[in-house]
Amino acid sequence: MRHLLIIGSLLCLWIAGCKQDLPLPKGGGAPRAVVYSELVAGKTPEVRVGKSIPVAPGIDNNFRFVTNAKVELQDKNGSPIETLLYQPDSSSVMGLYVGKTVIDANRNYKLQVTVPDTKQVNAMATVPPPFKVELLDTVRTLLNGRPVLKFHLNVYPLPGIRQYVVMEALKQSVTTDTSFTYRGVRYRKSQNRELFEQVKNRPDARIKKDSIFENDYLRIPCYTQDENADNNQIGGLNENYNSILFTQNGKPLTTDFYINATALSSNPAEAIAPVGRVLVYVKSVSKDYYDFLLTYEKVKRNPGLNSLIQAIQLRSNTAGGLGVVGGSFQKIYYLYYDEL
Amino acid sequence: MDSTLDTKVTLLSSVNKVKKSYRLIVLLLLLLGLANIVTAQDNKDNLLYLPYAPPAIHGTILFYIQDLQKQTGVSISYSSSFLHLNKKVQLSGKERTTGDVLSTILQGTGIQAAALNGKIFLLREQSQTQYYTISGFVKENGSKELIIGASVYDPITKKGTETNAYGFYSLQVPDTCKGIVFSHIAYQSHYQPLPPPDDGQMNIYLQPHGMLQTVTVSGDKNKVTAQPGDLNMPVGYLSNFPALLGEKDVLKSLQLYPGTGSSLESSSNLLIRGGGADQNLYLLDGVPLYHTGHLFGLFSIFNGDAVKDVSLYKDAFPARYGGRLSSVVDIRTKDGNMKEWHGSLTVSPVSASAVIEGPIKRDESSMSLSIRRSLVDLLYSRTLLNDYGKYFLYDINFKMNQVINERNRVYLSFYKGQDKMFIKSDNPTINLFDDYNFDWSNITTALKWTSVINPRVFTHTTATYSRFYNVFTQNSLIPISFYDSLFVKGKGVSRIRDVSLKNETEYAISNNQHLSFGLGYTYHNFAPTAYHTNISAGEATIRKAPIYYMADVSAYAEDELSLFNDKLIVRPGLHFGALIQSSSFYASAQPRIMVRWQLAPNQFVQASFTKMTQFLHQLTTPVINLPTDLWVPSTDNIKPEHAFSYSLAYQRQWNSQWRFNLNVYYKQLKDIVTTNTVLNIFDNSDLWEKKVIAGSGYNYGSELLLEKTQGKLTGILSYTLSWAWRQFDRLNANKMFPYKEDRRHNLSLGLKYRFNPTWYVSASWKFASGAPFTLPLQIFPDFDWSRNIKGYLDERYSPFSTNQLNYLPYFARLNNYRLRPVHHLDIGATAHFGKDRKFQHVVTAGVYNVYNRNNPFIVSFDQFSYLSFDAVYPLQLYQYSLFKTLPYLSYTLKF
Repeated sequence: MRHLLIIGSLLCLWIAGCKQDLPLPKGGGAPRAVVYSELVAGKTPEVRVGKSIPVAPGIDNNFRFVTNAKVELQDKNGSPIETLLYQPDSSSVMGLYVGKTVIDANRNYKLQVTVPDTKQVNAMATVPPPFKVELLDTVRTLLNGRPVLKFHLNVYPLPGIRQYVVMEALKQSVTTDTSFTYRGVRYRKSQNRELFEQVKNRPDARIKKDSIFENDYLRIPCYTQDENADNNQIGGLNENYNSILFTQNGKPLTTDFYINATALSSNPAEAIAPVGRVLVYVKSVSKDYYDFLLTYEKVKRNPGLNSLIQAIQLRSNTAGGLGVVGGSFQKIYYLYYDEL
Repeated sequence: MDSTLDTKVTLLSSVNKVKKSYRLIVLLLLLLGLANIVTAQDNKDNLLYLPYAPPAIHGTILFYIQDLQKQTGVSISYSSSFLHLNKKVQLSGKERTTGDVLSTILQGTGIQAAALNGKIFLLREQSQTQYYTISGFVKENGSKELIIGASVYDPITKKGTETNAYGFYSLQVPDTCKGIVFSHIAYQSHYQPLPPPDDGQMNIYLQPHGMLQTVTVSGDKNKVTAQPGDLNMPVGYLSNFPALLGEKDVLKSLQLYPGTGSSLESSSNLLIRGGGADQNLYLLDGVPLYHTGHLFGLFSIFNGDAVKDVSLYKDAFPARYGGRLSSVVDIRTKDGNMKEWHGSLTVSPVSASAVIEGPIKRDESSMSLSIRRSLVDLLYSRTLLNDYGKYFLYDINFKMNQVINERNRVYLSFYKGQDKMFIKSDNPTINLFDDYNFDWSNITTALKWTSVINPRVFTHTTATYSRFYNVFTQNSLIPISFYDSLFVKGKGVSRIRDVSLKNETEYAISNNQHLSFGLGYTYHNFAPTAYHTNISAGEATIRKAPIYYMADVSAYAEDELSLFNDKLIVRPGLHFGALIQSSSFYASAQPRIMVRWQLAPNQFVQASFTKMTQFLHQLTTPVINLPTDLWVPSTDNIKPEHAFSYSLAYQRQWNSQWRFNLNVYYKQLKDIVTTNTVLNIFDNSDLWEKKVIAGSGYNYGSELLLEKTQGKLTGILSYTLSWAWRQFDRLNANKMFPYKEDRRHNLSLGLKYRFNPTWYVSASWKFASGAPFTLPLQIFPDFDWSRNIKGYLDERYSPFSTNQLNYLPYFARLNNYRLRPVHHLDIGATAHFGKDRKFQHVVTAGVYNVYNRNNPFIVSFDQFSYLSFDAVYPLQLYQYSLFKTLPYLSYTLKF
């Protein structure tokens, strides 16, 4: 595919003199509410809400922030559990709505999102029951010339239940900052540099260094060599993926999960990876969410935005809107390679 | 041509008169004869018991009659209209009397000798018309090149046949038949009086038209053989209309006809009735080809200078063909001149080609060699291509044929076509990080033996070898950290090898019944993906490239019947195909039937049903013809594809000059395959079977053709209204969607005006509705972007990772939008100099896309550029066009 694109790119360059801008046609319809949420067992709900942009002449890719949505978590019968509140977050690119209810495993939830001037969005998500995963071993090794970290995992099946397993890795950025408490109020040095200079030598000022995990992540490419992985439906097994996907049919899953080791530790001489910690997820997710992630992998490799390549349609469960609401039960492995 | 037609009209009326009086005489003679036979039997007439010693045991009937009259003085009365006088006969040596000799020489003729009133009469045994078989080869006068598809028919009864792919014909004619017409699109018609000069093969030599008359389509030919679902095009047709860069292209010429089209502007990617390019069976001298495009399909691999004849079948497939769903393109190359050496050299600013043909041994063996090569790399390598890399292509066609005797002939043909492309890593325009080499080639070889078993039975046996080989090499330096990088040297190979043996036999049982049958065996060896690299696999599983060994067995039988005095022609047939692998077995019985009802002498309706099965699949995403397309077999998981095709056609002809054809068709496709993602063929770990999904399809439409085939002004108007739908599980919410090759309207107009025998002008205009394109209905925030997850690591296997979009497209329906229509007007002129001289010169010039239309080649919703995740930029459609107004000029030297 890569080679096809090279040829395609060269063709485009050869014929670049014959490039013509055409207006987009009208008819994209009304904007739709976009809802992203992963309801994680044992955690409180977080829902990101935005609005789509109908394709029409004169559009760009600048999405508007949605702060006035009504987001309601319901049980499977539609009875309200909680209305989520908007949480201002300058680092977020979509409106973030959070709740206080702890999500239960093995339970169905409904999410109802109402954004003014758009259709109401309803989505049902099943949070899978707890599952057992064993990390048998980790080892630094090479995979097709790449330094990787291998996780030898054993995922136990749930009797009589088809389990959708997703493995992925992220690196979360960390900043180190100094905080100081002066007259009972805690300040950050980076935001109150002047005050810090004034009080730093005073005995009643308590100064402390902090590691702050930011809302900023780097996706770590991951790999599998397992022919049972559904990544087979997406590309080759020597390629990298956002996540490794398995459908487990009541049998134990013993597999090697690889993540690219280049980003495990940051190097000040190069800006490949930020300083931070590595989060390795092994999740059991709802079927709709799994289908979304499978098609998402395809779309990320091939957006299908030109006439040479057939487009891939994303699977979604957000009736009336766009996005996905998934349920998951997850196990996280935290790896600290950088000095924080 | 006019004079030929006039002659035919005169002949027709005179023959009708003769026929009436002739019947009367025969009837009287018969009555007399019957009376005399009775008398002779009773009286033992002495005239048949006269002693007679024949001078030789070998001779013609005429020889013995004349000698008998001379020696005995007895007058023998007969009609040459029903007696084949030049038939060679052999005596047993035991004949002693006039009656003995006459009995021997008339054996099997249906004629008896009777004595009456001092004369011997040679009379028919029965009152019915007697038939005898004539057969032979139709060849070009001078070169002795065999002529395919020549019409052979009785101008009175209109009964006839046509020469097969080896120039052979077999026709039973009544003894009342005075002569036979031989005609072909590119040759002057020939009237051969009957009875034939001897009992051997009646080989006919047709005189070619003048060079500039090759466009004329013989009305006579179409009366007898033309069918709405197929098309036979001689090579001369290729140069009739303007062509892109002046390159004569076989497949593009076919695209002038209804039901045909191409994926993109001026692509040789032939599409038939809404089918994919992979659904066409391309046969080069009987050898199947898998990849038929040069330079991304802009040109086909069939060198117009090497081709003799092209046949395209769209429906009513003869039972001998199988293996593809949509069409058969049967291409025959030139056999070579049997008499003298000839050649030509053609040069244009982009390519050069040379042809040489002639006798190895006069009248016994000949050869033809054609070579074509692109010149772009040689002429423009320092300017145009320097920034990008290098590219060239070449083709070699070689054919030799040896006449063993009048009944047997052997052919040996060879083809090699190659494309080579090199892309530099230090490309100044786009930084690729890699050097790439693409190198793909076709090789075919065929050894054929044709044999006339007897005048009614013709058989040919063919052994073929075909290989498609696609090599890709890559040298890359990939940084994996600030200090470290990987040097990747990779080589990928995708290849197909076929070896086959087949036999086909044609048996003319009578003029009303032609039987053909055959057997074939093909051994396939497919290695679709094989990739090797210098990189240590480490923990990675080393996967062997998959190789598939298969046996493809076929058999067929077909019977063509003429009923109700040729008013009704019925052609039932059955093709059987089987694909045998160690892990799977598929068999398919494919019935075929064609029924044609003659409404009037020049018009008929035809209906056909065909089932076709395709065991081999091409997995491809793009619409351009790239060698990265992947041919794979049916496996235990992937079923063969099937097509059920129905068509109904009406054809009418006026004055042998105009032809009108209307066709409606419906085609149902079952178990057709596609991929639901993109494939990387140069990766052993990319398991293609996991990405294949099966579905169904429906193609239907109507076609109209109006063609003026004779006169100074000739031309063609064709229009197709069509639909092509596909349906796959889990695609487009399981709903039908327009196929990527769906085009609602397709219109072609070609005109040619011949001023005089040395020069002509021509113009063509083509229009095709816009191709389907999936345009997002909306865009919405990317899932990762919405969660502040970025990713730019390890771009080696993810080409898009540096081009991160902050949005996802929402596609409500697949192929919901249409690109702009494609149309262009092309004009051209051709002048011939030095006609009738040893050296002739042909200059061809023209202009492609006269009104400078920007036709869509690629349309993109976003830009082909690398942007950061957070960049905000306007979105619109970008249309890239390939050709603007483009002049061409070529010069040909012929000798």
